[in-house]
Amino acid sequence: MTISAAVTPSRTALALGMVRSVAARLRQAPRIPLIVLTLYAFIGVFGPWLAPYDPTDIGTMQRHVPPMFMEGGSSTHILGTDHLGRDMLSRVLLGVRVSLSVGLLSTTMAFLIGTTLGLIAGYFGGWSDALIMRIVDALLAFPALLLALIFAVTVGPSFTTVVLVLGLFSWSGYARLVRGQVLTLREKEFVLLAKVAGCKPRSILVQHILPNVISSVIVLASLQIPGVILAEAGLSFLGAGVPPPNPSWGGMISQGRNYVATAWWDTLFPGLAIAFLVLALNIMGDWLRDQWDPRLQGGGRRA
Amino acid sequence: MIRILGLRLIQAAVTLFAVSFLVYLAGDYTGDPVSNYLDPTATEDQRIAVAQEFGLDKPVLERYGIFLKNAVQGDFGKSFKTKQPVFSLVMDRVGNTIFLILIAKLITLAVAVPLGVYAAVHRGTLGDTLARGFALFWQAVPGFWVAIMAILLFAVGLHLVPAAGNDSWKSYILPAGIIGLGTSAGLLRIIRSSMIEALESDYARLARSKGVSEARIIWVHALRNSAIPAMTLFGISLGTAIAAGVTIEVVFAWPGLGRLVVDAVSWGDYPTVLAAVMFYATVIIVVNLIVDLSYTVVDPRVRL
Repeated sequence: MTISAAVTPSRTALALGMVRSVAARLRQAPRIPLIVLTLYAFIGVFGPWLAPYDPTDIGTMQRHVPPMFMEGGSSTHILGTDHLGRDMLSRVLLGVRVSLSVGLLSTTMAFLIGTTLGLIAGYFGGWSDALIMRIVDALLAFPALLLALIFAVTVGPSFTTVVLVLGLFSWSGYARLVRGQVLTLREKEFVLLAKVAGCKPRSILVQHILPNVISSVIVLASLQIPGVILAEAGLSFLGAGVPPPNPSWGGMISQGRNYVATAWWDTLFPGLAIAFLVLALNIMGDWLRDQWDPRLQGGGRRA
Repeated sequence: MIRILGLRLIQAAVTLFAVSFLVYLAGDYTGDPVSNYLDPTATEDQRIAVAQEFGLDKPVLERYGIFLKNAVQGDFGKSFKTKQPVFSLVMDRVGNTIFLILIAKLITLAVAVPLGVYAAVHRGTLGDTLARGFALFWQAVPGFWVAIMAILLFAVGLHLVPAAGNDSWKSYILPAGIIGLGTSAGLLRIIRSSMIEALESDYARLARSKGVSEARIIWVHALRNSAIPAMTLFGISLGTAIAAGVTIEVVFAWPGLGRLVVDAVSWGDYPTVLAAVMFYATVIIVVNLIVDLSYTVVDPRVRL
């Protein structure tokens, strides 16, 4: 018993080793984007305690107070206030949570749907493959934002709707990627041997094929998160996203737009918040891809 | 080739059919189009009259069947909002959108190809870094936000261009420029990376050793070999440009299809939404088909 334990490392040891190797790789990650993302994650988690005010608190006497570095601004509202007198800094900070949670939840959903359907299409072939790939083609052929807009308005804009709609319309890339890799993997000896040994299709897919495709799928997911975040902003901008008074950056830009000539800070700051987040995510995604799967051309992007 | 083409056309028809069905159901689910049309005080008789006028008194599958039969003949029904035939409503707007997207895509090409080639040839120089920074910037910013900021700066502040509408050629500068630059980022990056690969390839080295000029190697040999991934992305980016165009049209109050869709969606005017979506879908499918066909022209090794 002691011998077998020495030869085959235990599961916890394996997990520890993986955590260590991930940590070692992260140490080589581009420094600035990593810091920026850590900051966003921190704000996302602790936003409500960091924000100086309640982001939905309306102050009728203090509409469009300019940011503190401008004439008429003060340190009570560092980034000024919006058309309803709400504190911009608090709204921008709380927007992180909305944006990141939509990005992560929708991507997870797309990841799960796309990977599952890709495994099925690639392994079983036949009519299931034909049906799934036709749906993939249809989804790739349409501007997902447009379909998401229609369905979001139809079902009624809410946080859940946005997550579901963006998840349902962005899984096609994963399915295509996984299917392509499964097509080559299923002819490999280890899969054929597993079949001969009597493994059921489900366990072949989950235990033998999935581990071989998972790293590319994770890289693709990291490349797609920024796109989902931009899509959420677009939907909220069009009034079909996370509804007010929730502080969504896209919604804030849409409201600020009406006063941009006099109170440009309402529009500038949420936009900057999106831009820095997406920029950092893009650089990190590219780095991840170069590390783990240089051949992948996720979403048409390549360093 | 003809057989493949036929197969692709059938696929395209199936795709269009599936999408029209989905959008039709979504529109139907929104609730009662009749109450969208009438105010809450309307009597039962008025409701029945409106339902009959728009053909809404039949079960949904039968109505979808009627819609399909009419749609293939170019009749997409009447708008719930204006009662005009939807087809002419869409056709009034189509030109403005097509022209906008066309100019935007020309800007995309005019920016992405030279910058991508330059960055690949001068890899590691300041110019390369600037080109990549340009791409990273345009991939990170939401187009509608840049549009609002650009209006503030160039229209409200400097009075160089109009802030809304499309009254002169100047009206195209901001919207087409922003859509075009936004979608040029991905293309630039893919051209850069495939050009780097091509310039280091054996055939490029052989051409150099034969004394072929570097300019010819760059613009003829390498660029042609980088064309296929770039063309695929260009086809895909049309969808991106159209999606970006929707929000940009809203910002610039552009009298195009995108704004028509947004208005129609929020109004619950589903016949209009459906017709516009079908139009977009057809354009995207046709362009991607043309891209696929032109592979054979660029690379004779490709057989469809």
